[in-house]
Amino acid sequence: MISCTEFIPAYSEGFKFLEQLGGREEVEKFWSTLSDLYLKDSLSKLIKEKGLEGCFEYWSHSLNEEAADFTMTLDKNRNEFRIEMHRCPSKGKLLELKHMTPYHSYCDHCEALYRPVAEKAGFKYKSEVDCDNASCTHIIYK
Amino acid sequence: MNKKGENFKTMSRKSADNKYMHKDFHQSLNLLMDYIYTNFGKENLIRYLQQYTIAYHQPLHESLKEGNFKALTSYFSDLYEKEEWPLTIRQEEDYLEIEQDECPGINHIKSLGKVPTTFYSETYRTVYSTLCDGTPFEYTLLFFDEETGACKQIFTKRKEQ
Repeated sequence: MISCTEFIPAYSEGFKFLEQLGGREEVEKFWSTLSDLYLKDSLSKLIKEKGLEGCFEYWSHSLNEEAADFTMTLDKNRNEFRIEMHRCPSKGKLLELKHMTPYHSYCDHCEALYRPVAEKAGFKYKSEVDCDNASCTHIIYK
Repeated sequence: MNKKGENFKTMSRKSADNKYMHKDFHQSLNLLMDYIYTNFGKENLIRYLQQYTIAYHQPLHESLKEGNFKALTSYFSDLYEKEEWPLTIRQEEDYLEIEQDECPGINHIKSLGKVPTTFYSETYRTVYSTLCDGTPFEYTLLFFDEETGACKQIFTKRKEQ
């Protein structure tokens, strides 16, 4: 059994494995599939129904379950939803596993998953990522 | 949650504020395995799980190579405790039997209305067989119910050749 608490290493190795099979293109193809299938009933639905409020709802659930170190803000006056990830639980976990090397572009998966969902719902998306320190900022806005 | 008026809200958390358990990762893994199986076949799905095991379980593998059988018991006890899932462990010298009435992964995937990928059982068979490769121990998946993930697994010392 691969526990949900062991998923992140399995995810990272999955990206490496797909790259061995078909290069970066194959990894991006998988991310696109995952964005469609995994987020269809959750973020995608919430953002279409509730807009940025739906983003706040989605990440309230996932970031708490992932025990992330974060600050999240929703500013309706500015039409902006923002996540300041002080310590990403996923990349942080990979950096802690000294016997494993994370997939070289591990952090790219977040933008690959979330940008299409935000843009399909009529929002813009931007992010700044500091992979070496497992920290990042994601902004979804009008 | 801190609220500053109807149009602004914020939430801040430290890692220590929550327990790390995001069960939806079971579905993420399910989709990853299904993607590999659908696009590249069973052989590559098995190769992926082997690659994952060799990379992730390297410390546990090294313990087993040194004959530390108790490391397995500790691993399973800890894993299922974190997963908050019941498990029956019977241990004797050089014999470890693990029995569960349901797999937490299959249970969660189904609770989302999704279908576990074909060969989901390889997260048991391939992972633990690979873990034991090159060690004094061997793994047997005695039975596995594809519907629920109920199963019985046995780790034993290899017979001398």
